[in-house]
Amino acid sequence: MAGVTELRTLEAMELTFPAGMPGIPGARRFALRPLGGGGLNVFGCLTSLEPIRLAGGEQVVSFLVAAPGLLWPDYRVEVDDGTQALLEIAAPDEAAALVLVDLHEDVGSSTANLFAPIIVNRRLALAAQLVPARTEEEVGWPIEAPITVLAGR
Amino acid sequence: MLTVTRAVGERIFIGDDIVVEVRAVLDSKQVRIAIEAPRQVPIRRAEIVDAVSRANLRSLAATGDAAALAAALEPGAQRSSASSSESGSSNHSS
Repeated sequence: MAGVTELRTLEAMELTFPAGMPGIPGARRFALRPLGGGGLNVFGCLTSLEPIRLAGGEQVVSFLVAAPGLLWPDYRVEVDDGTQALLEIAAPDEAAALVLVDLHEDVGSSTANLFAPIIVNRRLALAAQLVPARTEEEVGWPIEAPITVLAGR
Repeated sequence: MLTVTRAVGERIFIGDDIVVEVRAVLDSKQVRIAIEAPRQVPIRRAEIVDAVSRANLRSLAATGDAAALAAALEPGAQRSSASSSESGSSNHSS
């Protein structure tokens, strides 16, 4: 299918990940909450609605996520058939991409995973992490992309 | 776990609709394998899935506390607002 919408802002919603996420197999239901006022919700918080069993025990977990549209204007995502079927995406405009942020202690050096974005079916509130069949070099979008708006903070 | 020896051109069925075929032995360390599966079955190189898993866990480790995170990021979001206005691509309503 064609590329999905690269979100410029985030909206609050509850998301179900039918296939979980790589490395976090029990993660199924999350709340997405935009951070920051002013109507420009580039960053958001993706918090699990149930405790998730990790090496350190069971806990509610949160990811920092970003809408890539404003941060990386050239960013394009191709959704594979498997992900499209899993998320029951009927038309490209009901799918959107957001990216996971790795917030570093030195905030300015934080990165975002443009290689494996979260694809959301906004109509059905279904989500899945897209894991490309090709390598990072072939895809051309890094797993640790610098976030320039945070640089120097 | 099933371990089998196959010759080039020989195939293995996994269930009814997944076929694995050894296409070529390139050298003592590499073989070329062809996999046929329904379109909705993801076929991924393990090292790619592992890299994404590690990245996910790194992101989790760094963002345990949502409230602290919100406080840390609020100015960041405003900063991006400023930079987007400068570039003329601001779109607050989308």
